[in-house]
Amino acid sequence: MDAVLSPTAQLQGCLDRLRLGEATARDELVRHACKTLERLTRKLLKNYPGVHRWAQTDDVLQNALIRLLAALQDVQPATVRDFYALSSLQIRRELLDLARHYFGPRGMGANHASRLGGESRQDPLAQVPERAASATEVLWCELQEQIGTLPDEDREIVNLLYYQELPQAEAAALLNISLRTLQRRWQTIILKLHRHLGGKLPE
Amino acid sequence: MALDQSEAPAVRERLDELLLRWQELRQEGRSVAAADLCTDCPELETLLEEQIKAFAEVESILGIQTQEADGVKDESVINRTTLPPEGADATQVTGVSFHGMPSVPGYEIISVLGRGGMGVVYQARQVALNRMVALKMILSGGHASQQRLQRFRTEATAVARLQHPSVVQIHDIGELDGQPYYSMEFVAGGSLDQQLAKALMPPRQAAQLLMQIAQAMHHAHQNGIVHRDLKPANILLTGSKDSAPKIADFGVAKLLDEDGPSLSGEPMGTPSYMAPEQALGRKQDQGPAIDVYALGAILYEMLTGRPPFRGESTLDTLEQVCSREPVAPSQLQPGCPRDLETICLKCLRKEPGRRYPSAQELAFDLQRFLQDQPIEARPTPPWERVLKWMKRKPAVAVSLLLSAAAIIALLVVWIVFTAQLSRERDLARAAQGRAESKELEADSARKDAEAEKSTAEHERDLARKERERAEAMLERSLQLVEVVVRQIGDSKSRTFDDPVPGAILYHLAGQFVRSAEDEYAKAKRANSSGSGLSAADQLRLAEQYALQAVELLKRAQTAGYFRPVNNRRLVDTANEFAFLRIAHGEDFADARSAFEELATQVRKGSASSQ
Repeated sequence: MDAVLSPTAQLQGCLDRLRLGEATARDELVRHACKTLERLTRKLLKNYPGVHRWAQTDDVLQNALIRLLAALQDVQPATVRDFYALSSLQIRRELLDLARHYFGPRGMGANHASRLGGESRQDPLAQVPERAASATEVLWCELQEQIGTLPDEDREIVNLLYYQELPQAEAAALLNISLRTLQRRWQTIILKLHRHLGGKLPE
Repeated sequence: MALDQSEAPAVRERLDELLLRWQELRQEGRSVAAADLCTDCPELETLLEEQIKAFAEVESILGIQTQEADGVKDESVINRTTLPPEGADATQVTGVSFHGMPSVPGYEIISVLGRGGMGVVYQARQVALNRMVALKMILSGGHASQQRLQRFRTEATAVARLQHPSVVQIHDIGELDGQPYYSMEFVAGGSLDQQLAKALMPPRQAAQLLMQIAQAMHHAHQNGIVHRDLKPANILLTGSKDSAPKIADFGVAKLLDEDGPSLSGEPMGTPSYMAPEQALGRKQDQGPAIDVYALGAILYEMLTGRPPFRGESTLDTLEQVCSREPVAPSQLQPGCPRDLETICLKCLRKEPGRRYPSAQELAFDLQRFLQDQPIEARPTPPWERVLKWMKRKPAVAVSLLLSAAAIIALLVVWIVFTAQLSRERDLARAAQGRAESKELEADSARKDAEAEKSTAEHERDLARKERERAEAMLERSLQLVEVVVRQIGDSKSRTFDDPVPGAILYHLAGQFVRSAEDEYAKAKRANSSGSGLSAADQLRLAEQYALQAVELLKRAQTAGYFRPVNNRRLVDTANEFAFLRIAHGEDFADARSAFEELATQVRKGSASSQ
């Protein structure tokens, strides 16, 4: 029967069992979050090779999972939405920490010798992708921070569609709203985030 | 045309729906361009493109994968993102695969002059005629839709219709690898916006320049063409001494005598110079009046250095265009002539019907201004400005009206209340006056009463003293009578005939009768003045006097002295006295019988003496 249950239904089952004190439920929840985080981390590392050269996906995962486990010991989310909110928060924090560590002006990536001079400086073409990536990385960090400042309702939609990568229909069902309403709110959020970045978009 | 303020939010709502549709189509894996979604509302194409671009950029940064088919992206995004920077390789623009400028037979491309929504313009040399030309080629080459190609060709054809010294002239139309291009007059002086970026234009020079542009636009309108994107950047200047204007870029122009879409699917105008009906996408209203509006906006910028409306975003600007009134140029540039300001603001009226009916009329009014003749445009009257303001800010207007009504109502209530209060105060004052008057009267009456009381007391006191005096006198008289009687009694034995004792008694009785009469008179006066007690006292005295007189008369008679006349008087007096006592309700039967007896004796004595 489990095979036909939707991920949301499966998660709700785990949460119910966790409330009853079943230790294995926590492991299942963490494994679920692990998959989501792994997808996001791989995407990040793929899009930002500047980080990939410093960190491996497994390293990132391990930190995030430790965070999530600690959080689950303190808080027992009652609903799937609560769980998504909690895991999304941990994921965003981990990704941000990661990005700040490597992207920031004092980060390893930005200050490594390969960016400051040496042989690569002789080849102007070789510098172009590095600069472009850097600008986008900064914007990526700003977006993550902006997401953290969104109103709760908006942030929950970002959590579901971006961090949890739920299909829009499933997210709409979970929020008990129509698909069109979800899409309308999603585009409002995206445009709002774009306005926050006004004038900073890469050419 | 009456503009509804709610239409600006309607634009936003429509845009929202279009973006939603774009999302849905993308979810289905279908490639969509803003132009495809805006076939019914081309005026929103630019805004939608901006939003799609913003959407794609944020998703790109976040690394969000869409269900869009690989390799197929929104055309508008490609258009935006593949635009090379100024002076860079134009290969992507024309689709021609070579480095450097495109190669067009018969022309030698020199540089890029600029890019519009639909094409790129190069400065080129026409080799055969050895003249400088501007060569316009369609943007985005191989990606251009057939619809765009058709529009580009139609634009060239339309501009070729216009033969006017203030319209850029087309020299040649051709195709390169299936991509159309046309060459046109090269204007060396740059554009008006470049000129305005350096300095403001003197008012008379601005009027002169706009008059020429207006005449050219009238020519275009006469040929069935509405430019729809007039702005300083599309006004080229010859650079000669007189710096004559040349209208360029008919890329979004509309042919009035043809049905179907406009000449271009590109943005329908520039928000800051766009007429409200154009911003709202009212196709049926997009006639020459929108060019008249744009001419007013150009004049406004020439006079003030800024367009009439400029918001933080395109949508914000459009909302201002639809709902706000422009600031008067003289407020921004105090030296701006009033007549020129009036002409400018007449062009910028929200309602097309209230602008100049044609560009020609505008040109005429500018000419009148330049010749220092009275212009035909009239300034907006104050009441109309108030009405416009009320339409723009209905909530504030209603609040102010309600406040004014409340204040007036309060004033009326206050006036009525004050009048009523005043009336009541007058009444109270009158009542108080009356009360005071009555109090004075009462006081006076009280004083009168006190005076009367005092008088009465005084009189009573006097009466008491009089009575005491009279009683004392009576007492002394009685003592005297007793002495006289004793002496008479002693002398009676000597001789009865001696008349002296009887005369003395008779005389004494007469004295007593007079005293009784006096007391009686006093009693009558006291009775008439209401002093009953005093009257009674007087009567008692009178009674005693009278009784004593009777007694003396008896004795006088006994002594043999008798005077009938005097007795008659005594009888009358006694009768009156008796009647008076009876009138006071007292029983004086004894006195009465005594008097009656006396009267009988008197009558007897009188009879015997007679």
